[in-house]
Amino acid sequence: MQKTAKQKGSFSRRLDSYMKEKRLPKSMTWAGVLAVGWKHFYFNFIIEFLVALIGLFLVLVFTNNQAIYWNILYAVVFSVVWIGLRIGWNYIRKTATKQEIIIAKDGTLRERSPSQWTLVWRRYKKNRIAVLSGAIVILVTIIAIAYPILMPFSPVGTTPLFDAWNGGGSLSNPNLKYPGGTDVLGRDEFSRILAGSEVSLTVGLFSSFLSAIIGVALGALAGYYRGWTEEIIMRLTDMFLALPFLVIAILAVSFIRRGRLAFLRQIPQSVVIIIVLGVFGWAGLCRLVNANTKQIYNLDYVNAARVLGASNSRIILVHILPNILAPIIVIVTLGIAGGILAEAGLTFLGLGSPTTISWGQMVNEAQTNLKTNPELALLPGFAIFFVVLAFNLLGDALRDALDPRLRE
Amino acid sequence: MDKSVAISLKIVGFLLLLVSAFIPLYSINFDSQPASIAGTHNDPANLVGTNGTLVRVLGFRIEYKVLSFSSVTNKTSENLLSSEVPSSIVILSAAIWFILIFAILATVLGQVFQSGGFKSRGTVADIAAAILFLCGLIASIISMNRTIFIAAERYQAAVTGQSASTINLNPITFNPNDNTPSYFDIGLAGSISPGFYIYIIGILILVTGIFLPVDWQKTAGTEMGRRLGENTVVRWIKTVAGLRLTTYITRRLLTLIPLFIAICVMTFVMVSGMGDPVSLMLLGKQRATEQDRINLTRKLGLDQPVYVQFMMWFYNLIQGDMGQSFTSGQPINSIIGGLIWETLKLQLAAYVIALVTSIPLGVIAAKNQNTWIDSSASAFALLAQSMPIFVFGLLLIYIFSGYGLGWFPAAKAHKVPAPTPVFSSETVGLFFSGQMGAWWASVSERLLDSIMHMVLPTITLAFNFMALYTRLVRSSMLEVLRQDFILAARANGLSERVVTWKHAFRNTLIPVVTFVGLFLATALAGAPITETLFTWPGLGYKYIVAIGFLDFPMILGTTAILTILILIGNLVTDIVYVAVDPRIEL
Repeated sequence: MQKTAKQKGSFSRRLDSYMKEKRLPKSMTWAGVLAVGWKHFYFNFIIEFLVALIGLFLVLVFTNNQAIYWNILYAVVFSVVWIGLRIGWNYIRKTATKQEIIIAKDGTLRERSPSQWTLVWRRYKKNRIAVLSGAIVILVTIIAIAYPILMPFSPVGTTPLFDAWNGGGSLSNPNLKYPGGTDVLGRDEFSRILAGSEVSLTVGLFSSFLSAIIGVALGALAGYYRGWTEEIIMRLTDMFLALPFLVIAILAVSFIRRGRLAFLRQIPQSVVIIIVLGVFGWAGLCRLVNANTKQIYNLDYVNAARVLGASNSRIILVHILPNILAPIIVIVTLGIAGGILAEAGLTFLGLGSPTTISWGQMVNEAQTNLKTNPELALLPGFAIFFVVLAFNLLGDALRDALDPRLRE
Repeated sequence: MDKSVAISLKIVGFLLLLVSAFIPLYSINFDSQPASIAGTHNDPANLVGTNGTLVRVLGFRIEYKVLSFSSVTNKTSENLLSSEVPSSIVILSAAIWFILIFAILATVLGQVFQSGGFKSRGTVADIAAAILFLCGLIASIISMNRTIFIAAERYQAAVTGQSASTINLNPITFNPNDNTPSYFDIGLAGSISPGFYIYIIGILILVTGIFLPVDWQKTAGTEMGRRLGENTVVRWIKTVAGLRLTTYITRRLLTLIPLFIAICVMTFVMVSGMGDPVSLMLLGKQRATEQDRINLTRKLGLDQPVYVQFMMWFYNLIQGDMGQSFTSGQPINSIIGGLIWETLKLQLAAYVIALVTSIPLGVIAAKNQNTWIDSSASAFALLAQSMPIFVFGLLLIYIFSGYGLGWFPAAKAHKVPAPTPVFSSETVGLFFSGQMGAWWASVSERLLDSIMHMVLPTITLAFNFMALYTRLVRSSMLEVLRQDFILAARANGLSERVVTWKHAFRNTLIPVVTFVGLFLATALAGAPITETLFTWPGLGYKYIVAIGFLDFPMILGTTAILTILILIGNLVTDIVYVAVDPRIEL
């Protein structure tokens, strides 16, 4: 009781002194600067710069990468790039965002009604899981791009056997120096997992994009130009839907990589898998786009555009496609997860090339040592699992955000 | 003219043509064996000629004359004769068949596509299809004639133009460098095989059906039905034929044929470009000569161009013969017949488990929407969906097999040595001789062994399927629960249990049931991973092995079987969907 009164008194006394002297105490000044400045334009960047610098520096030091001045240089370059991106993003947002307050026809000031994408972004931000999964996806992407400077060891270099005293060598269990242990050849598992993210993500992204391009183009054509075009395209779609996907993908990969045609054999492994997954995976999307295009085809605004003399291509590109974008985005995001899974499956079956670092292949190679070193198989396996999970969550969240009617 | 007459004529004609395809267009019959009489090798006096009919192609017959020196029992040539047919003949008959099938497909599909089924038809489609069809027919007849005559001329020239000691013409490959001393005498004989009659009748009926003037305003099946009379069978046939579902199924079946052919062509092109199995097979042999390579290539049929190989393979496939394995030499039919049971056993068990667990889970999740039950069910589904199947399997192996708890075996379908199969002669013999104790011991050992080996792979697969089904059941249940008739049922005072399980759940089943067919595609396509992980001797595992050994017939056979299963599954899905949900427009 007395204590609170004393505190209260002290506070009021300080407030009184402030009112008299018009001067804040030092602590309150700095707190205020932090609190207000957090929302200030460039202050944010400075804080982020410092955090990023310290964080990266710590990561680099603990992963024991190279000489210390190189670490500093990396950290500085990384932070500068980060801040540049932030400033650029803010600049784009400022210039691209339209005025929130507009003058209506009757002369009053009104709030502009938010655009479709603003609404989507608001709904997306509300969903905590969505933001989290988005952050994980961005993190994995950063790892996949920046893994060369994050890796503590070379993913292909073997640790010499005398390093077994220090936790290295062949088939060592996880320790502080080698966080994931080492595999049969004495390569650091942790570095290999970091390096494997590149192939996984690249294959997932680009195979999904490839199948999206094929599927959307064919689906829109089939839905817009009915008749024979639709028949041919939809029969083709039926054919691709009837294919046993993985079986044919195995066949196609071995045809391209080990076949008789020399020019096909020279295509890199991950590109082959991208092409195969993209070429055999578009059928479902094509059906969806076809159905949606048919639905929109006879709506009034499309007819209006047609009456105004818009060409077929313009109607498809400007009037129809933007209106069926939502399901396409969702399918593509889920397709990335599917692509990562399919790539892991293919490489698990031994169709990867020995020079490419891939999670599925790592699981495959580690099967023989499951008894002594289960982490060699399970760590890359769970890496696949978490990335796929993040993309699946992102897909679900995007579906909820893009089309709230589909929720539940 | 009645509409049904034209339709039935077309269908009967089509069926007849299809039947004629299954009767071998060519047949090999050796009427006589090359003689073997003692004598010297180079003495023309000892030359023995034997005649016989070698090959029949539809109405045409190729006769042969084997000249052999009496001293040499020409085993090689005899074997070649009895095991191989001149490739030109095979190609020819397969080509005829192909042109024919494509012409028929063009006719029927032209009508189906342009006119939206058999409901009405367009003149353009008719004329185009008829022209295409006639062109195909004429082309096939001309090509047949030409090839036969060219072959006859060549053989005649070879036989008559030169003396016995210098003729060096191989009948199998037309290769002048091959010194197999056997000669053919070609003549066209007049006996026509029954297949040819069926072929001709089919064409006539089909063409009649196409050109029949038809009153399309009339409903199907009236006039013909009146002519046929009114007994139960006819009425039943009329009812079934009058159903739009019948038309729908016919249409879908017709579209499946070109689909299957296209998939087969694609697979075949990829497989034949996959590598050189001959070098792989000769890899371990010491002192393999170039002659060995040539012989092996010819034996495997790889000396022919790809399209010829495809025709031969496909022609045999539709007659139920998928060739012989390159590695083991066994017929693919028996190999796949043994393997598919193991695969289906695993898949079906996993599927049943997944259904039994995921349907209640989905329903309960939907009933308790936005509670912890719902969110944990959704989270579980999401986890199962994101988990790579092989990682989950490895985890199970690590925990439950010999690495950890040691409860279940982690590899193969049976222990080594395998217990006696339940339906083997031994076991059945025990059963019938009345030794029930011994019988039960043997049977139970086998069954227990099977089940123990099945546990881990089944759980792995079921875990994967459950994700899909839980989400599906949950979302469709939610959709149904929101509808008005549920509200009405509740307003009528029905108990919640009745509303859920009788009203809502039955309507939920529509998408779930129709998903059964689509499941087949995902399940069978995913088989290689699980089976490789557990070294399960099923189709998927052997497929991977076959790809490693470049065993072309095995790869092709597996993909063909899987494709057929998936196509049938899709068809059944569509039909069930239409049958279950009356709202669907055909």
